[in-house]
Amino acid sequence: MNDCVPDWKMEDDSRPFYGLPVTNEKKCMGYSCRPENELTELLRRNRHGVLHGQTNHKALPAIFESKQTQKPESLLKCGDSVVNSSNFIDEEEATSWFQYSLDNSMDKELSEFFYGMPTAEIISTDKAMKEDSNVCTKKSCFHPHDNVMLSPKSSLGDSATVVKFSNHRKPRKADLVSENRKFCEEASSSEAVVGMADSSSLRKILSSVCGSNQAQNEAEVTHALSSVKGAKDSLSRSTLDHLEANTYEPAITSSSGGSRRSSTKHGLKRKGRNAEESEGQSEEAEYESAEANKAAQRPASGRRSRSAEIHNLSERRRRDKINEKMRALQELIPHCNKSDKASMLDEAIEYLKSLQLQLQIMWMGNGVAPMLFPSIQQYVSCMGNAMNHHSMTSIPNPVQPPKVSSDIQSTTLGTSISNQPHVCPPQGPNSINFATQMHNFHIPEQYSSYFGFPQMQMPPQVMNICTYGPQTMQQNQMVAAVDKQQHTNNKSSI
Amino acid sequence: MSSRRSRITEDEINELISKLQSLLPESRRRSLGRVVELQASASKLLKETCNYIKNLHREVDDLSERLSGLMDNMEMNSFEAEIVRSLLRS
Repeated sequence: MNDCVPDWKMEDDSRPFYGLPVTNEKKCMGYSCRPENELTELLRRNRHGVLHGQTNHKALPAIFESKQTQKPESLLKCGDSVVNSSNFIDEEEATSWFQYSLDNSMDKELSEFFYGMPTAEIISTDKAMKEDSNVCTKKSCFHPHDNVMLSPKSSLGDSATVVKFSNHRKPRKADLVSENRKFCEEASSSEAVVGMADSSSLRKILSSVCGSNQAQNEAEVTHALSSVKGAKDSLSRSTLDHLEANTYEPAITSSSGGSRRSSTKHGLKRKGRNAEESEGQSEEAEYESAEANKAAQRPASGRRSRSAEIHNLSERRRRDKINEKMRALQELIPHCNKSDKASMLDEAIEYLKSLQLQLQIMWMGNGVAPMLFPSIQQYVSCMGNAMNHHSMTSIPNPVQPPKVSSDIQSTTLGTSISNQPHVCPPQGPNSINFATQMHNFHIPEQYSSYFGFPQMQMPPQVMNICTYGPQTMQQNQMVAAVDKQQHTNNKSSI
Repeated sequence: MSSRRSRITEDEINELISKLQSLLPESRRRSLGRVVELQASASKLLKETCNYIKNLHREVDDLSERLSGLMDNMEMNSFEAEIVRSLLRS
């Protein structure tokens, strides 16, 4: 791996990579090694096929040159991002590459070239190339350059590669159908049986996943491939998984894994090499090579799609993290049967508030005045007054009274501040605490659902309790409590 | 479709998240006049919330123990005992 990685890194540095250093590296490892071989082959092939005499030839020759002179990676400049991101988005890359090539230059030229590139991976059969290119073009063609794609096919070969692309791209293009057909034909005949098997398996999965016309295409392909599949079941399985996840995300690589797989498929096709390589390795390598090819082929579109894919992947990861945390939160909250985020957050907020309130009350009940505002004596008195209305009764039904009492208390607090009954002094700390609490939490009753808490009833009694407790202790607590209460009150009042 | 739905509820969610953030005992810079740093990503915030709730649970358990300890020292019929019992009941 290491040797491959350095290659990639170097290449990447030289080229304007699109920022997929880390992830790509891993993938590139196996991948980079291969692409060189593949690329060279592709280049050679493409050269023949592509040079059709269109203005864009230069684009291709340039690619050839770069390839020839340097490692294949260099060639993949445009595709390097693809390659790198191949890890993520094997499919995407391919398609993007195709498109890219199409966009930039003569579609035909490029398409041929590109097709040749990816097919090189598979290199199953020359004649397959034709088909492959057609297929590939169809599939990967994001742009409406279909016609272009079709033309160069002759030079391109590996049907397997084509199939690969088609596999990946299936959701994208209706072309896949035709491609698939071709692929199927090719597949059966081509050497890349192994690759095909994978692709077929993938296709199957894809078809099942896509379930659309594309799926049909896939099915066709898969049929063809299924016959060949055998050895590569495992590979195809992995690809399938990917495909399932990714298939429906044409533009966005559903996941790097998916892309990986798709690349793997490519690798399979490459020349039956897949059969030789270990599945994981081959997949990676192939994927990378496929990506490289793709990358080379489509410079602009590849980049765009690649970054989009990368973005999607990171976005997906982020979303997964958040969902996981939401689930954890849901477990913490009692009696939470909501599943959507907003209501979950709502519940969490309420629960948190009620927990805080409960804690405050408990602190008070403990004879510790967590937060006391000495200046809130008036509140205390008011509270006392208000509470006196209800305090005579023993602790009544927790749920009901609180509502009533809270209303009364809140109103009382507001209105009867002037009252400075005798009750105040002894109840200082706790009352204050409660007063502030009640004042701020207009809805303590909603919390009682969590606790069955006779909140409203508490104040007077709690205050009594507090009077029982040592005043000194309360004083000590006051300082600490004030801060805490302040903090909590501020929060709740927000 | 999904974008529509997400747009509709995204504001909601953002608001809820900010509410949640306000509830958490975050270490805001009081010196800055309680300027809240909204650098919390959703996942961080959720994680903080989970931790905070766990802390609160622990605190409640702790207090409950203390209260029950208090109960032993109180007369059974006083309303303090009542209160404590109700507290413990919740």
